[in-house]
Amino acid sequence: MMSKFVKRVIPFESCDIPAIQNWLEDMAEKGLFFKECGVFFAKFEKGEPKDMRYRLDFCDVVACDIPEEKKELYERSGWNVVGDFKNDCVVICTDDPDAPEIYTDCELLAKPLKSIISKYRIYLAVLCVMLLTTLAHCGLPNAVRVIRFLGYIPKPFFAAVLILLTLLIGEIIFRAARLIKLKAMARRIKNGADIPNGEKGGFSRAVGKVLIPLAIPITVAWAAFVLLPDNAADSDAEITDFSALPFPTCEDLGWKCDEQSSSAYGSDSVDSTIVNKRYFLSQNGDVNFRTEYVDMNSEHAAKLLSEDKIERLKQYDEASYNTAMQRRYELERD
Amino acid sequence: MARKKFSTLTEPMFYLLMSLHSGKKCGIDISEYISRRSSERVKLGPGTLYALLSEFEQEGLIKYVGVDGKRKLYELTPTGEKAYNDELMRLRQCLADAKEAENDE
Repeated sequence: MMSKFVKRVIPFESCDIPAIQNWLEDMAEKGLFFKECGVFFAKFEKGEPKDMRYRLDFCDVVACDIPEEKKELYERSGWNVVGDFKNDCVVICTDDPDAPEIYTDCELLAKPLKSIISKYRIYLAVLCVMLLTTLAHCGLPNAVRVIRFLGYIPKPFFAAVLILLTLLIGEIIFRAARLIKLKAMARRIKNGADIPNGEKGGFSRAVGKVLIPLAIPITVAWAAFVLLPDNAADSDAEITDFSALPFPTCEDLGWKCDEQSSSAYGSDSVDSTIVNKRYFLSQNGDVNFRTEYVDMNSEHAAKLLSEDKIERLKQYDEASYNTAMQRRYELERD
Repeated sequence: MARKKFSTLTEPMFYLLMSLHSGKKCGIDISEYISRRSSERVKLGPGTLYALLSEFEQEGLIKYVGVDGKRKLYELTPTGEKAYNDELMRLRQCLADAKEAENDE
């Protein structure tokens, strides 16, 4: 048996009052009648397509509801209260084309609209903070740190950060555009205009379908990137404990050495962390092996680069290297 | 700010104060009173009525005085009485001026 209900992604924020009203009317024309609303999805009941009028009441809406008395007055005026819309508005509808408009003096809506605008300003500010903290974590505004960050993070992680930044910017642009539109409507209403009807919002409907449901994954990704301590973004943390670093030893490289030592030091230069290998014969003919970490500001980078260096050192031809070093030593001695 | 804001009342505002001038009422009674008194000339949508009640209450022109079942009852405050009387006087003066102008012509 087919379900009599269907769910659809809500392509608007509750500040898009005219567009939501029009969307619900469009759905009714397709035989889908608004029943209730979640965070990202609205539930519709299937029925015979018909022309309906939907309005959003955003005055005196407390805890997703309006006073019983107001509901009664709506019913007396030919309107039915259907349910809340994202906790901000109450959806009412009628199939009576002659039912009086719920707002006959729109000038009074300036104040409730102002509180909706304030709420969306806060949302926008939160998104901007998320973007700024993400950029700061990538090294901005310090160009040196950005170069280092971009150079050292693994490619899949870099792609993920890029996607996160793109989505955050998209969310900000989308919500800022909605806010600007709402402010313009509030201004017009303050000057005596009515709430516009018949606004299709086709483009914003398409964009909203994608961006609005992504709000939570974006927030989770942002939190993981910025707040979790053990991630690649920590690669800029200055290193003080060198013990965890993979200092290459003669054994690692499969070489024979009489002595070996290691050291590490850092600087603030933009140069990448490097591992220097010093392999030399001492005066008494012993083979000495020494590794050094130079310009090491970042533990993550140091590990990556030193591991790479070890791999490359393993490829060296030990015999020819030793012969060359022996010859150089003998020349210097003579 | 409130007095300045409502120094000139719109028709729905004036009728709302008029309805409470004759005694405390709930929203539905106010709606019916306005409709009856203005012979259905003044339309006050449910959304607007409650937005207006909320605004008037915040500005101290009316006050919530109790409930009658599920209905909230409101009455005029002295500020609301004054706003209503001032507006009434202004309208009377407008009418007198109009009559005088008519007689002059």
